[in-house]
Amino acid sequence: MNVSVKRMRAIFIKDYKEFSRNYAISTMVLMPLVLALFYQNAGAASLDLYFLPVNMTFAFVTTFIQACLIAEEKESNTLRSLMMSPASMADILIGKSTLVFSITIVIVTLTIMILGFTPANLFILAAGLTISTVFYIGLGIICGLFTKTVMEASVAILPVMAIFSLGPLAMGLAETYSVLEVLKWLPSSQLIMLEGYSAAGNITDIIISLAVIAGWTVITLVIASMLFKKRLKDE
Amino acid sequence: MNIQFTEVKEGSHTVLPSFSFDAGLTGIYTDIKRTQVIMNQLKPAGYLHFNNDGLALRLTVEETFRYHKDLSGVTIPIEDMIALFGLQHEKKTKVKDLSESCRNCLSFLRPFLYSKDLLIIEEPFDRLDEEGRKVMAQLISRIKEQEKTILLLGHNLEELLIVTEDLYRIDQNGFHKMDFNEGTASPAEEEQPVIRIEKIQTKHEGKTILFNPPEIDYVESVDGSAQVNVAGKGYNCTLTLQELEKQLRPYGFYRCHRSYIVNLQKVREIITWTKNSYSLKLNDRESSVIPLSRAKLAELKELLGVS
Repeated sequence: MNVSVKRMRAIFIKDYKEFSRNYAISTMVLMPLVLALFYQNAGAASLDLYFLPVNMTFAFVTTFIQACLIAEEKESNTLRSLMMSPASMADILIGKSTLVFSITIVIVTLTIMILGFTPANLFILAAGLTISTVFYIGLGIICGLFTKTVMEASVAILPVMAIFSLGPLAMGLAETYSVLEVLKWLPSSQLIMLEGYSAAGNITDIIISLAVIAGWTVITLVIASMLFKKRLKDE
Repeated sequence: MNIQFTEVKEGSHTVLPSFSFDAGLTGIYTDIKRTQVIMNQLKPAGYLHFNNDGLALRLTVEETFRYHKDLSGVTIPIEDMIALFGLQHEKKTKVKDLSESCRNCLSFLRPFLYSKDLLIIEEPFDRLDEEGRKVMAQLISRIKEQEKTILLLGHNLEELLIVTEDLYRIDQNGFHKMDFNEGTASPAEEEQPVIRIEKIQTKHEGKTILFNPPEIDYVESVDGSAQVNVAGKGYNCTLTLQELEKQLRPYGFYRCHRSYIVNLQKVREIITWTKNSYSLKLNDRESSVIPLSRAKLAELKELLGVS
């Protein structure tokens, strides 16, 4: 597979310009920041509440924008020309993800700063957040490939938000309904627990948490690239 | 490149007969339905181009060119490429604000860069203004220079003739190479200017209609029979093009193409598409554009007294 920085950069620049001029999508990045302000004023205390805006950011910014970028490409029928061009699948996917990756990192950092949250171990949290970002980008690609228009993409992220962003909250009910114990293995729950473990300084638990998140990420990326290949053939 | 079609039937009616031919820059003169069938068959083999397809509407023209230049890795400078597409005055315009004709030209950028050996274009000159057609004719001849096979599908013969004379038409029985070589026009002898009435007899819905030669805009040959065009309507004529040419010559008509006779009184403009492709624009009701053979250009200019 030949990877060309020049082609990835071309896709990145094009996406950036399209994104910044499409206010329906680009104003979405403000949402988590507003949410963070609310929580900060309400005085969030528990880890669960600190991480709710962060997990929301992943659904509303990372997955949503990534899905829109892919769906838009399908809507205007340009996916086929991308396939015909010398750009390889890696070029297209990496080029298309770089923009969302950088936006997510900025927004998540800002959210955490607004919340006034001080991580127990900055390095471990950063690692967890970075791997999570890649996971949600993969989800976004899958959502984008299943939808045809930007409008459909905005509906497709709702289940992502319900399961991954709100899932950790439902864990509180796990004592009543033991089925809900599974929710513990969601990457978003693991992210919260990771922070808890790193505060406690428990190395084994930290590694297990990171491994779970990484596992989700790898599976998602494999599914996303398989779907992408299949879609290109169908076009 | 050899192109093969397999037969497509609809009941007992043959939509597309099976056929195989060598294509270079080849036009197929056919209707919408057959165009669809052909496009479906050729989809795996080549690059299909439709007008107004696949543009990022929020980019400016210049950004679009830069994006595709980086993506394709071509070495032509951006400025030259933009000029080639006739968009040098629209560089900073967003794609969504372009005129339809400019946008259709711009959407040809992708096939121009990404088509491999076979490019299929549906209605190449559809929804383009005159400037756009000129650009399109030049772009097609540029692609042809790269030894690529180009197949044009369209139902407008005049438009196809702008770029190629290698044309086929399709009917129930098969593909027919369109013959524009039905004997070279014999040099008409100088006739004495004698006043006489000569009506051109045509048939229309069972009626016989007579036209005075000056009324006629142009005559074209459709499937071997002559069609007289008056005020935007075509009437069938039983005479051959050659007989008509002889009869009409004294009235200022000229055989500007193997299958066209034009009323020189009605010529408004000589359009130069590329160095060796021309058309005549008439000032009839439809502003018809009819093809002009390269070989006839010099003689026509002489007849019209222009240089």
